[in-house]
Formats: sequence, structure tokens, C-alpha cells
Amino acid sequence: MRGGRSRLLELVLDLCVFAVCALICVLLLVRAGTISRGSERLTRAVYLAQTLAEDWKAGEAAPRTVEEEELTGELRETEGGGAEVTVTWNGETVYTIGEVRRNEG
Amino acid sequence: MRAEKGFFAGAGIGLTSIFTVLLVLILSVFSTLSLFTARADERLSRANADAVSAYYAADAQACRIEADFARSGEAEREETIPMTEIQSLRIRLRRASDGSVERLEWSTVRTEESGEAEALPVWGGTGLPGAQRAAGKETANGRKP
Repeated sequence: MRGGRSRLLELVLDLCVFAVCALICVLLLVRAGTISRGSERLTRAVYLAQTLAEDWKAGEAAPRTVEEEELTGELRETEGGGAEVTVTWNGETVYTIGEVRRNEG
Repeated sequence: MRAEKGFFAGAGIGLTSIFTVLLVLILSVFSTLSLFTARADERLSRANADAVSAYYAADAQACRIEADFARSGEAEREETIPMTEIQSLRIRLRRASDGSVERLEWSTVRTEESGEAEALPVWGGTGLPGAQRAAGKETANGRKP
């Protein structure tokens, strides 16, 4: 009877320890997933911004808006003769190229 | 049953506890590794984004220099525009015989100072590496000035 009770106590303790650790680990994994998705989004935003900038430098007309999966890239000309590229995700700015200039040569 | 009456019985540690500890350890290691990997990826993405921003800023400045050169009467101009700590954009412009601007160079180069600072400690070609090491040790111990 005594052995059975101690075994049950051990099981309950094991379950508690496991539950706490699993919770912490799941939180860590969720955080890692969020960071990973953020960095993937940033990388894709950089590629999109580069594409828009290089297209404009090659003679593409502005303003231009491109949708790629969840990202929206927008290129608009500035007053100084250059252009600005902004990539947003759900209305939030992910990446910006402040100034792009066409090569005169 | 016999094992439980031995060492582990007093401490209240059975097979389930051992499995739980192992499981928790494995979970902790994998989740920590995933977090570290995600952070490393994030740093890399940010570094890439910063490098691209720096490149376009330097490129815009170079275009302005080119426009300025086209207006001036200079025959040739060379500029190095710093981008990051280790990279610069080097441009070399020359005026052609018909007055148009000719680009001789428009490329990203490694900054010279950083190249020297981060050079690997390779053998310079004078003396034996073993002898140099021994000499260094003696100097460090204060035996030789």
C-alpha cells in the first residue's frame, strides 16, 4: 500500500515536472518560430525591394506596386529625381530603401 | 522490483522519473537549439538588409558624383564611398573624347584598413615557424628582451 502510494506520488511529481518543462519548451519553440518567420519575411522583403529598385533603374515606370504573397512592394519617385521603395506586410513597414537613383550613363 | 528496493527506492526515483528527466533534457536541448538557430538567422537577415540599404545609399551618392562630374570639366575622377565597415563602392570615371562620361569602374570593394586588421596570422616567409614560436614564448616569459 505504502509502495503504491509513493509510486503514485512519483508519477504525479514526474507529470508536474514534465508539464512545466514542456510548457517552457513550447514557449521557446513558439518564440523561435516567430523569430524565424520574421527573418524570412525580412529576407523576402529585401528581395522584393531590390527587384523593384533594379526594375526602375532599368527604365520601368513609377509609381509601381507589386504584391507578392503577403508582402506589398511600392516604388514611388521622389522630388530629387530618385525613387523610394517601401515593402509592407499587413500595413506594417518591413523594409525600406531610402533612395534609389538611375544611372545617367 | 528488486532495483527499486536498492539505491533508487530511498530517493523515490523510478524508471518513469528517469524517462521524464531524459525527455525534459531532450526537449530543452532541441528548443534551445531552435531558438539559437532562429536568432542567428534573424541576425543574418538583418545584416543582409543593412548591407543592401548601404549599397543603395552609396550607389545614389555615386550617381550624384557622376552627374557632378558630367557638369564639371574634369578629365578623370576616382572616388571610394564607404558602405559598411568592411565594404566600399569604388567608382572611376573618365571623360571620353566626345565629352560623354565613361565608367571605368563601378564596383564594391573590400575596405583596405579592415583587410589588414583582419588578416590571418600566416607565416611571412622569413625564419622557421617553430623558431618564431619559441622566440615568442621566451619573450613572453621575460627571458629575452
